[in-house]
Amino acid sequence: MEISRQDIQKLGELARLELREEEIDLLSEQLPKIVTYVSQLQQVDTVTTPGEESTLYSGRRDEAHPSSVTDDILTQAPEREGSAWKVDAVFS
Amino acid sequence: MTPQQTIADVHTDVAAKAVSVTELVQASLSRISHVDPQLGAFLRVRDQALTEARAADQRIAAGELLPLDGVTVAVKDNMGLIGEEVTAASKILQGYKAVMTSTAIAKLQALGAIVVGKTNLDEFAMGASTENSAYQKTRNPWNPALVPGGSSGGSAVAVAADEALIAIGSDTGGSIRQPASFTNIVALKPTYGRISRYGLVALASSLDQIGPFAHTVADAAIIYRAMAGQDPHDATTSHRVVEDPTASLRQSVQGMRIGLPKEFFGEGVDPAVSKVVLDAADVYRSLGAEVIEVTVPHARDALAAYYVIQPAEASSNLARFDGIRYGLSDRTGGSLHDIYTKSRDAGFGAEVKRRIMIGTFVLSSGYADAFYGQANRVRAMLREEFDQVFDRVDVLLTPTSPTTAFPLGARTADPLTMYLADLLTVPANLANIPAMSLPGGFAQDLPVGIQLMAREWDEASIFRAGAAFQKATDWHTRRPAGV
Repeated sequence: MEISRQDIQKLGELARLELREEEIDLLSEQLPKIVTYVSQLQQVDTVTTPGEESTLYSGRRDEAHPSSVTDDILTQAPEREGSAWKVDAVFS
Repeated sequence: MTPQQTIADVHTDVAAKAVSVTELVQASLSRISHVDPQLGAFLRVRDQALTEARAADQRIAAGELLPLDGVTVAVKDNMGLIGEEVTAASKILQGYKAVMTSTAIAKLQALGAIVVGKTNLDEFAMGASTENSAYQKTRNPWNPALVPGGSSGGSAVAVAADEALIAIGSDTGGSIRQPASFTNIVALKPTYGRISRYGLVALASSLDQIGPFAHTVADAAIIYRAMAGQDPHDATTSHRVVEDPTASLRQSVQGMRIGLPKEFFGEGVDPAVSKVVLDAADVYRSLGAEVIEVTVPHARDALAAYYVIQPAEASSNLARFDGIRYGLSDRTGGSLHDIYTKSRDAGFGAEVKRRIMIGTFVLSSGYADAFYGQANRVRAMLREEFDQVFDRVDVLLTPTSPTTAFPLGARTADPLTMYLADLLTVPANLANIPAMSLPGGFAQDLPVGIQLMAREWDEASIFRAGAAFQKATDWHTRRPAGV
């Protein structure tokens, strides 16, 4: 399967990865091989298969519980202001 | 701790006051300081372990003995202990302190077990050799030129080299079973939903499961049972009762039906490995089990389905590493977007980036149904086939890994050859079923693990078949020379 350098750059952008030139080179070589391998799935006749919906979750009531971890979590913030995370400008 | 001890031995000795918890923990720490500079299993040793041991001894002196007193545990460094660093072997989490203790570990601690340290892994558990750790290499005690397997390589080595009595790992596509196979120990990936993942750094949430490493099936069963059960903090955990494994561990395999699925032998599997498994089948026949050949046709497509679903889920899970809330943060760019891209570039290693890219591709507009949708349909078919085969047999017997341990560096240049190491372990994750690897013999002087799989929630059949095999063989008592 063909995946161009431009495709790799676009995927990197979607994934919020700042890829360096040598990384783009390497991924341009490796990703098509991996995608070609997993493309064998296209040969499997799955038309008659019932839905793939997951039934793994038992579910529970959507109830609020008091939590005291906010301060603990904020101790791990790279930058904070009071009880908020601090970020750089969204538009620059 | 002396080699060949089991949890039952430790419990007897501690109860009889023949040994103290402090002495056992000291022995473990001393063994780590002696052999780990060569092996590299541990990222961090817990000095608190001795303080906890002394407190345990005081409690025991006051008359309160717990079932896992004196049991030393090594924990894969993708499970948190509150207030202590947890890195998932990634630079992006360097210095990060866990804000909760993993339920699985908390349950072991509540029964008296003491965590002696945190072990090395492939970054975010992505890999089959532990070479993707951002921090260090881990070596196989059977031959230090070889990998220990992965991603839970550090935990496997900790047990194989007797640095801790037991260890805990996580298994998304074989990350507990394959390193156990490479190092001659036992490891169990329980049924999906058996053990809470609360406090585990997520890789692929529909596949991840926590499980134990030990030398014996009985010890693995004890630790499994201690960790299992419903947890309100993990909505995927089941309310099902976790049965006491004791009876299964004693039951003979007379009349048990053991299936050899042909897709797990042949192409891509080292004949010397297959031979060990077929010899194990003969052991079962001699013990009165019925061994029959069966088929799970879509097991051949499992690896391809896995390398769509797992990167897709991983790329979504790892979106949380944004440089804003915790972990590495590069703020040199000047905009919010730059924080994301620069922090992720600096924090993630090559394999993690590769999987994020694969995951982003298979979920992208125009490809999502052909790849992610199709992979889930194949997964559903595979589950159905396993369900049908377990109407005919009680357990399946296969190799754990297509090969024995390979040399460090041998597969790092070609990601696809590294992915092939997962060929025989991913089917159990995709089907949500329990699977164990246990020592089955040797090929060219290297350990070979045999894999037992059973129907969802039927860990009991695995314990029965596994314990019977260990009663009839002594492979699990072999230890690597020279460490």
